[in-house]
Amino acid sequence: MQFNDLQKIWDSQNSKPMYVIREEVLHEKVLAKARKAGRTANSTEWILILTGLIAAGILVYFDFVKDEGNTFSFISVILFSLITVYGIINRFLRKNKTESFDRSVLGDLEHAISVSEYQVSLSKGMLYGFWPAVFIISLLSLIMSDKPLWYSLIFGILFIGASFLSRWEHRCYINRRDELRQLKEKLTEAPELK
Amino acid sequence: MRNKTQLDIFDRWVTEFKPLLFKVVRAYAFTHEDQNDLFQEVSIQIWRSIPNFKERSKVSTWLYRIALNVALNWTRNNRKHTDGKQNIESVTHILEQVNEPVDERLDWLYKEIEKLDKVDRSITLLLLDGFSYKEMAEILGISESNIGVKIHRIKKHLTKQSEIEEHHAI
Repeated sequence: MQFNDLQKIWDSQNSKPMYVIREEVLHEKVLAKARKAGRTANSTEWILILTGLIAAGILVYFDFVKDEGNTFSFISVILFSLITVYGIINRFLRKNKTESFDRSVLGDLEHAISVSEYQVSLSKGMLYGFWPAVFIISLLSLIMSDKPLWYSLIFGILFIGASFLSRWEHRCYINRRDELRQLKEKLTEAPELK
Repeated sequence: MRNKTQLDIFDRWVTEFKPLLFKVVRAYAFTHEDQNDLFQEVSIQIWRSIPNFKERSKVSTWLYRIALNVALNWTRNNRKHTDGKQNIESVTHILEQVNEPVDERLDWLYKEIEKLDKVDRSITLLLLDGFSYKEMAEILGISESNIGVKIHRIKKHLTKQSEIEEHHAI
């Protein structure tokens, strides 16, 4: 069979579609999902931003108004402020991503790769820089405040849980970046003519 | 853009270009559940893209690019229907299969397309739908010469497979 014959077979489906679209279900699902996706992303980002802000605010209150602060709680203020910055950056990346419609498939892929590379470096920073710093600072702060030992134990367990989640998130971003890179490689490779 | 205007454009595009969307869905998703899921994802992206459409390209080119983009990413992410578990939300299907007699040659062609890697699948769909090298380069973002090399290989592969099929079955 010549390629033209294959094309005729292919064109035959244009006159007899293989599916019927249930329009009311389509409208309902598209509108619901578009709304839901926006809402979920929005609330996740705001939770992260507000958590950082509130935690930093409480510490600032105790450090400066109540004058009960120590070196470690001052450092904690900075760390919690960084969580807020992290949330704002994530929000910016998401908003920026939705504006990438007028590109080619390769353009979208490159954009997705650059976003995922940024997410990998951010999550790496969180995993190997931020969380260990929070752990050490908070632990020293707990020890200095003469709290019972079980406070530190519970804190340690919580930290291990957070580290696992952070590691999992980091792995997800790495996998996503690698898959996108492979896809780009496949798209741009120019095989030899045989 | 007003919701009503966006919905009108969406309906017009989906109605007019449904064969195009169905082809992408069938080439990248192989069970009815997955085809529904992919069609839904493509539809959502089309809906979101409407305010960004500046009429610099043809609607078919625009929609093909969006559909292929979603399909390429969807095969990467999709895991939900492969383990037999089903999301309640997805039980109501958007697509209903038409009970037409099966065109065996078309079925065979889709099976051959399924065997290609996902980038070659995109190029094959565009090629079979008669897009020019220039349009394909525009949609995919790679050079015309690169497209040319890939097309040469795909054409050669498909015609060879069709000869094997004819030899065995027809």
